[in-house]
Amino acid sequence: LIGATGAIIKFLRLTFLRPIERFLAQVISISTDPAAFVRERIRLGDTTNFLRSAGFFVSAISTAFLAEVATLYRLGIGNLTEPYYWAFILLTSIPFVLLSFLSVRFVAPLSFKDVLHLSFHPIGAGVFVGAAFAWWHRLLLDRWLMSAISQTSDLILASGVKSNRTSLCLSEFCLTASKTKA
Amino acid sequence: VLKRVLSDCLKNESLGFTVLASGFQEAYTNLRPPVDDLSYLRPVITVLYLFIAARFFAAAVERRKPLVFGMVLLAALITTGTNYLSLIAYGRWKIEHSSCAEEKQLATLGLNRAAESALKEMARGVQAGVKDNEVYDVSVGAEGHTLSYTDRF
Repeated sequence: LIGATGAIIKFLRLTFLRPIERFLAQVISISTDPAAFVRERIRLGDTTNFLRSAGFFVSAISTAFLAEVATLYRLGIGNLTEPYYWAFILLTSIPFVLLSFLSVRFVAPLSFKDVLHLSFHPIGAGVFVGAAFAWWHRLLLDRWLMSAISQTSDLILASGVKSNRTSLCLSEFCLTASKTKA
Repeated sequence: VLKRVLSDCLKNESLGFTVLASGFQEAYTNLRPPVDDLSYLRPVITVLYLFIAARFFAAAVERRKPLVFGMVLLAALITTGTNYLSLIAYGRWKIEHSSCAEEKQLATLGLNRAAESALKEMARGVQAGVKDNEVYDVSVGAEGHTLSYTDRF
């Protein structure tokens, strides 16, 4: 039984955690030292390397999709059928890739595939970092609002009320704290 | 309320407008400050990473690195500006040419939305006034134009 559990944990680690770890390492590397990342990881003209960068971009877009679904659900705003931020990113990235290709062609011999290859990583990392920051900002805000509600609830209890239910609503998104005097 | 109603109507009418609203993080702007600041965060960070894209291109070429960097940065500036202006223009055009903007329909939708909102508020008030009972739990909620009163034994 112990052996089977160990095998399952190893399988999960290799299947899920390792790719996430690799993805995060790439995002950090792209954000902190892009030149070194290009030197070490990008090989223009290599199809496998190109597909890897496309995979990185798809992973980043998927993260933005998940973050958007989670935020819409948590805040109770918008519909869960409308997380189209990924489509917006794709559509608005097309002119950048095309114009970069056209302008760089005058000064350096980069093919369209090379331009696409070089664009996948920074655009993907930007999408991921944006989603991560928005998520972090929302978590902080949740904690801050909950602590404000809790303090208000304590003040009401201190005024002699036996129990109270305090809510704070931002549009249709409400946080509630219920407290009863011991 | 009318702004929100118009936006919801346009989203139901057109997928293009839904994508546009999603890109401009419209969901967050329905919230009150400071939570609505969140709407700027993702697009601004994504655009800032185009600077890193320029560094990527510069690092990938053998010669004329500063020139390549400048070209890609210029491409990023032009496309960001063009994207922004054309999307704003599309949004305005969509609002002007949509049946949602007609005064009568907008007023009806606005009234519907106000009624739904008032019903939700009423449900919250009724729920807050419900006393604890050992035999059953009472939950009051509002869904669209319906006020539901549920007893769970």
